[in-house]
Amino acid sequence: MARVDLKNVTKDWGTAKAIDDISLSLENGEFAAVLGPSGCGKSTTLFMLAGIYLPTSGDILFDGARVNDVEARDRNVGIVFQSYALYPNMTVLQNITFPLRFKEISRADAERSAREIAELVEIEGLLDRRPNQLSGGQQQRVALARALVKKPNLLLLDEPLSNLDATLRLSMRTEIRRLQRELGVTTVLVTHDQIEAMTMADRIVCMNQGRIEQEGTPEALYSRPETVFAASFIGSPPMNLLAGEASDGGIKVGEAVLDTAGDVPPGAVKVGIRPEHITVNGEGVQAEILIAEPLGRETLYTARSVLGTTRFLEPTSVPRFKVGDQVRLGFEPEHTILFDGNHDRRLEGVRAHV
Amino acid sequence: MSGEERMARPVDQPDWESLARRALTMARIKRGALIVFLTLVSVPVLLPFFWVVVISFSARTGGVETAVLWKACGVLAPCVLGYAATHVVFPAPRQRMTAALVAAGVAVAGLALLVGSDLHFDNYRFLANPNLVEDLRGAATAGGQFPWVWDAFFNSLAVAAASTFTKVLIATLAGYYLSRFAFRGRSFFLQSLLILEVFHPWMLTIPIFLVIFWVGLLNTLSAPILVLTVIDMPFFIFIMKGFFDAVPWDIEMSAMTDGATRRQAFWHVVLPQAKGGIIAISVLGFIRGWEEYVFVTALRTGNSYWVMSTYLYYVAEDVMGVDYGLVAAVSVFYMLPSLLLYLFLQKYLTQLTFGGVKG
Ligand SMILES: Nc1ncnc2c1ncn2[C@@H]1O[C@H](COP(=O)(O)OP(=O)(O)OP(=O)(O)O)[C@@H](O)[C@H]1O
Ligand SMILES: [Mg+2]
Repeated sequence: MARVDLKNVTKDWGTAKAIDDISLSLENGEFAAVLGPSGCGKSTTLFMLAGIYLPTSGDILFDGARVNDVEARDRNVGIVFQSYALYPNMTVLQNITFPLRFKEISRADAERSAREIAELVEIEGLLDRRPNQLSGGQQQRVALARALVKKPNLLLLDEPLSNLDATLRLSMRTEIRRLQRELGVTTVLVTHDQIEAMTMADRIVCMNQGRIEQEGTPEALYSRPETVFAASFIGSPPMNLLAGEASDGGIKVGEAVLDTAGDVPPGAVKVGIRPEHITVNGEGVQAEILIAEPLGRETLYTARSVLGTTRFLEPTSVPRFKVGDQVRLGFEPEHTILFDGNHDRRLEGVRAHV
Repeated sequence: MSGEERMARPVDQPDWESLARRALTMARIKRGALIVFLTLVSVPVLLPFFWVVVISFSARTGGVETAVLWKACGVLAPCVLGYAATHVVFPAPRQRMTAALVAAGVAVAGLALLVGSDLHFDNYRFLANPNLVEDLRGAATAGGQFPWVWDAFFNSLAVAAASTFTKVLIATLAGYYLSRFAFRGRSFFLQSLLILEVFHPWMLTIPIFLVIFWVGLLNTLSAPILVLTVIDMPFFIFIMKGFFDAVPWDIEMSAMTDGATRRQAFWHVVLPQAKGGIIAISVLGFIRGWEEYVFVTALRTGNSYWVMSTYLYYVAEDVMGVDYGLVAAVSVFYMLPSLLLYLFLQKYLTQLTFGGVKG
């Protein structure tokens, strides 16, 4: 179990910057999720923590000690690769005991720990099989067991659930969270699935193009995104982002002018409002329904109005409106978020409403 | 319209059973035709081998008993074809096994009955008696020093084994290095490996001879061992690189985070997955060394050492036209190790096409 710090870490591949000056601290026992689109440098960050890649500059600290020059095998880090990376030439039991081979542990003790951990991830019946005789979910559990058996300081999970079907993903999500709590191991989960990050992690680190866009609790990222990227990446269906022009008279969006509360500096802005924070048939602008998508518990509509195209959610499983219907759409002002249109950063203390 | 056709189907229910029967019959006919075709094509390839074996057990000094050959063919051909036919008709392994046993039994019985009295082991006397040639005219030509077959056998074994061992060791390590490490001149190295493959090694015989002469290895077994090692190396390195390329990085990285050193990761995790490649190049390398003729003759100036290929050549030169049986027997003895290796390890050789030679 360890406290982990990244200080001004960068990683270059030739001339390309994969990681551009990131700093991050993880408390002992914390579960952090690194969230971001494909190619943003999530795996690279993880591999630097594991000691597989060396940072180009910056420091990595475990419990306050610099580990940049400590080799991967001495860092005592457990890692589950996206491909699981099980050893095909070994049985499941041999796979799980492999990390213990290099420690001064007797064979019998190693096997006992392996069996214990196998029981924990519920694969005790598969120990004699080879990896190619396992389903995806079983392989994933084996990989998890292998990462945990050495009682790692730090557990790294590189998109461990992306190869699983929806049901299995749901149960593995709770499973991994339960294991992590039980063992109290500091964990970094890499994912591009925001629901995964929101449901599993204590803290989300949102990355884009090698930089940290924002970090914080899932609630914070959801309700107070600092950047346009974080706002659009987190939340499903995604937040409506309307481009507009602020002046003394309000914000001009499309044909409409929104009233503002607070000091909005004049110039380009983006108005963000989540689909569930749009009011229907109260005060607002006239809109025409273009698409109605029942999502099960609620219905997602796409509508066109003077504001442009917006999406909103209605908590009815049977669609209340059909395509072509006219509705009035308004914003819950306390839930609107304004971004500076030039820097894409959130503007503090300002609101907008229709 | 295909759409309308699809609509029409459910009304006019297809007869699944007859469709299944037809598919099965077609599959059998195709397989049968394939087996007949392959049998016919392999006849010209297999017949000489078959003849050599029969001659080695039946010929007596002075000539070949053609009658024995034809009789043996007459027994074996129907057995083989009959077995092929049953193989098509009976799909179950047990039935096929029975068919094979019956065919073998019929073949043995037929041979014993028809040509049994003509078979003998006299031609294999060279395995026990080094002076076999004195009863022939050979004593004069060989100057009284006819080579002893077991000398040749163990020399060939040494050449094949030593060159194979070195080749496999170096090709494996080099293949791994080329597959995993970026270093200056890597692509140049890979390209030169390919260029070397363009030239036939025999073109280099004279320079090789000179080099061997200068380093003083002429007339020693080390000469062919070294030359054979070098000749196959580019190709073998390429094969091994292909096998290592197919082993995912993740697995190696995983081993290293699991506490292994790079060397341990290579040994415990990467190497086992390139096992097929290692066995394949070992077999190729061994057969190559076992069969080598050109460089073993080119790099000796007298009869300083004998290997199986030169021994066979010598026997053939010496007694050809007089004792076909002896030549045939030596040939069979010479073929045997390659044949056995191939039979037992062919599964790995076929992997070569899959595990693959790729850049
Ligand atoms: N070994 C490498 N050599 C050169 N460039 C690399 C290497 N590994 C990664 N990159 C580059 O670094 C960037 C970040 O890659 P990384 O694998 O960390 O992305 P990721 O966030 O894990 O994406 P994904 O979700 O697709 O796995 C990418 O632009 C990638 O092309
Ligand atoms: Mg990745």
